[in-house]
Amino acid sequence: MLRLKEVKKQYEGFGLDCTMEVKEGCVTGLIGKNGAGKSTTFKALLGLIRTDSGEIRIFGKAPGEFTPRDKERLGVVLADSGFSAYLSVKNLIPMLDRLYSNFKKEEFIRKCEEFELPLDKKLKEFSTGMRRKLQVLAAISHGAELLILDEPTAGLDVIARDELLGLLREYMETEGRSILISSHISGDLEGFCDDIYMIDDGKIILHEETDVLLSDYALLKMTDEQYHVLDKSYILRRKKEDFGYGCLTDQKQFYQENYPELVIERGNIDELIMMMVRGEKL
Amino acid sequence: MKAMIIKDINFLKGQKQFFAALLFMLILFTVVQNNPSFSISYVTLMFSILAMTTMSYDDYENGMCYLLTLPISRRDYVREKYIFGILTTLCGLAGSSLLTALSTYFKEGSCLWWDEWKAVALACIIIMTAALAFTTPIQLKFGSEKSRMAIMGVYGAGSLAVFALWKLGEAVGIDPEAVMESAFVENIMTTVWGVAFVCSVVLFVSYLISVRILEKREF
Repeated sequence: MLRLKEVKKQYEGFGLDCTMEVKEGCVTGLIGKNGAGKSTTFKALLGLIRTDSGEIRIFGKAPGEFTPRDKERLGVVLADSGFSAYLSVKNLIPMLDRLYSNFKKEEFIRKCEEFELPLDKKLKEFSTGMRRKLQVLAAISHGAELLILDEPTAGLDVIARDELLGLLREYMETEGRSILISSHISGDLEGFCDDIYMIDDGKIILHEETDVLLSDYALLKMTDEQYHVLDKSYILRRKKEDFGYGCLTDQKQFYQENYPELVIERGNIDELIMMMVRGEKL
Repeated sequence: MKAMIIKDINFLKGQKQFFAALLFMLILFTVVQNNPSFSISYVTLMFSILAMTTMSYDDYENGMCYLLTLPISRRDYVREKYIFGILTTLCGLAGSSLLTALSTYFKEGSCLWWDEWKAVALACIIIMTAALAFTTPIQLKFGSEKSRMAIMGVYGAGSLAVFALWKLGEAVGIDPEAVMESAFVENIMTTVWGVAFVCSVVLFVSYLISVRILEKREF
C-alpha cells in the first residue's frame, strides 16, 4: 500500500535515508526522538518535499503522479500544520464536502460534538489538542484507505488519546485499510501497531513486529564479570552502567534459559529506543 | 477548486469590521466629500488587496503544507487564487459603483459621471492586474511578509510611472489630458479591448510563473 525504498534527502546537517513499507490491513508505527526524521519521512511520501533519490509508492503511484482523486484515498494529519486558524469547523464542512466525494457530513458533525469541538469558534481559539482531534476526525471522515498520521496524539490528555485511538481502531475495522502513524508516546504505539519502525538520525535502525518486540526483546542487567563471560551473539546494543552493563537482546528466551542469574527486564518501547539510540553497537 | 473558493469566501466573511469600515469610507467620500471616483477606486483596490490576503491566511502557521495534502493540485490552488482575485475585485467594483450611483442619484437626481466611471473602472482593473500579477508569485515564493512590501512597491511604482509619463508627455508637447480624453471617451471601446487584452496576457504569464513556483516549492 505504501513503500519507501532507499529514499534519500540531504539537508545541511541532516540526511534522510529511509526504507519502509506499510502493508494493507496493517497499522505501522514510526518512532524516534524529536528531529530523528519522522516528519521529513511523512513530507517525502506526501510529496511536500522533493527527494534526492529512491522510490516512493503509494497505491502504486509516486507522489508526483498523484491526482486529487488519488488524494481522496488518503487521510492526513501533520505534526506542524493543519487547517487555517482563521476558519471554524462550520466553515470547513462545506469545503470538505466539496473536496471529498465520500465525505460523511452528519457523522463528522456528530463526532465533532462528541469530542466537544465547538462548530462556530475559529480554530485559533482551539487548544493544540482540539486542533489535533479535528484533524483526525477530518482524516477519517471520507472513507480514506490509508491514514498518514504524524503525531496525531501530541498535546492530548490521556483520556482524549484513548478516545482517539479508539476511533482509529474503529476505522481499522473495515477491511483493506492501513495506517502509518508516528508518535513520541510509545505507549500509544505499543498497543495499537502491528509493526514498528524506529528511526534515528534519518535512518531506520530497527523494524520489528510489535508482538515480537514485546515478547522477544529484553533488557539484560549484569555485573562486569557476568558481561565478560556472556555469549554476545544476540546482543544488539550495550551500555555501560554503574552496576556493570545493560544490554539489549532480541532473544530473551536464550538468555533466560542459559543465564538464569541475570536480571532480565521486559523493556518497554521507550527503553528500547533509549538503548537503540544511546547504546553501543557490538 | 470550488472548495478553495468556499474557503476563501469564509475567510472574507470573517472580515465584517473591515467591510463596515469600507462602507463608512464609501459613504464619507461619496456623500460628504462628493468624490464618487475616489470612492470606487478606493473600495475596489481594498477588495483586491483583501483577496490577496487569503494567501496569508492559508500560509499562517505553515497551513499551506496541510492544505496541499487535501485533494487539490498545486495548479488548481494557484488558478483559484487568480480567479478569486479577479472575481473579488469585480465584485468590489460593481458593488461600490452601484452604491455610489444610487447615492449620487438620490443626492443630485442623476448619474452624470458615466465617462468618468469608465476611466476609473479601467484604472482599477489595470492596478488590480498589476498587483495580482506581481504579488501572487512573490507571495508564493517568499511568503506574506515580503509580498506586502511588493504590493506597496507595485502601487508606488505604478503611481510614479503614471506621474513620470504625465510629465514626460508634457515635456515633449503632448497634452496628457487630451490623450486621456481620447482614450477614455472618444476611443473608449478600443481602450477597453486593449486593456482587457494586455491584462489577460499579464495575468496569464503571472499565473504560469506562480504555478511553476508552487510546484517547485518544498514545505
